[in-house]
Amino acid sequence: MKSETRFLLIMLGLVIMLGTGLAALNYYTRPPKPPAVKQTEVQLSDLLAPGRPEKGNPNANVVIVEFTDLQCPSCRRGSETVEQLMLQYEGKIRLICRHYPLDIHDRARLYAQAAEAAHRQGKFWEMKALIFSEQDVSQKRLEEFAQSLGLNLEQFRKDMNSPEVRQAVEDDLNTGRRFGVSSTPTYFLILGGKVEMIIGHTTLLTEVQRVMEGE
Amino acid sequence: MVAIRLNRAMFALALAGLVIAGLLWYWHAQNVDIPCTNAGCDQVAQHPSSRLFGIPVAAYGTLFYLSFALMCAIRPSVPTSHQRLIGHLVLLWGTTGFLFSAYLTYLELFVIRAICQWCVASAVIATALFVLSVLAWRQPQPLALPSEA
Repeated sequence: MKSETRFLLIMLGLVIMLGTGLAALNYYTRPPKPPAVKQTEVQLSDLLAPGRPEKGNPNANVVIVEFTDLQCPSCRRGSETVEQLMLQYEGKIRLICRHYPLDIHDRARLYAQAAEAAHRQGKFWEMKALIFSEQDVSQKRLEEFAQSLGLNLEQFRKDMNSPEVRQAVEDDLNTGRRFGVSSTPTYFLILGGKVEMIIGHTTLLTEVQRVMEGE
Repeated sequence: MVAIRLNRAMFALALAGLVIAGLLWYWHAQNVDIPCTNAGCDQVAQHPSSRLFGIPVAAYGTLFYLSFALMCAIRPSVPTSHQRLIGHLVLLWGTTGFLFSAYLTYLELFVIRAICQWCVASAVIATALFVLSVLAWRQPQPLALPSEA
């Protein structure tokens, strides 16, 4: 074997060993995941606030309060899961959405404000769905969404940057923080007096299905 | 000397590609959010076309870059009489990688409609490998170090 081949094979071996080693280190030193379902002392009334977007049956026994970040890919998948549950158990679920824009997502607040501004014209869920459908959108695109939903564009622009809308997002964030939300999506599943905090949408799906099938 | 430099350049690029594809494979297997400046990486990773025959595309990429790097590594030790054959193989592999990358980029742009920077980096490397493999293939002299020729 020539020295060139030996050198290149050593380099290749080093890269493979380093990569495998780092992957193994990363795998075995991962922080333990918090339990996906946690009983909490939180009450439904703690999670409610006047004027928050909601849909479904307002008198349903099962209530889902969703804390979401509109720039977070897992939240997009979570939203699809929740919509699927709303269809599957039509009339049996009340859904309330609250914002939890994470700092790591630079446009999450902007998107939350856009959804809030649309909420003021009765199109929160539609705007949320549109933002999730693309997720990497500019201010101009948000305005195009608003136009496509038939919103008053001037009002939408004004609302988006209004102190009231910013405060609404901030209030949601503070509520989430106060009751232990630290990642998105986080759901509170309220069944009568029992409140469960659920991290991740796949757990929510199995948990709601379990509850519904057990009824 | 040009041939050996081209071979080293291809080897270095294949190593860079190996790191990127390996990372993407690991993240895909761990089902974690891929570090990305936009939401594109995750959208691409979650799309059904990120798997081929049930295996993540990143796994094929890892094997592609690994085999490319191995070919470049053993090439200087191949007898001069077989240099041409290795040259053909490298060109074939470079072309395959380039075409496959082009197809994946098409999927990103027109089917998934999201861009993942890691995939773009891999596509740039695959393109560079293709160009270099053509240049290497056009080299008339066998690949060997001056001292060993």
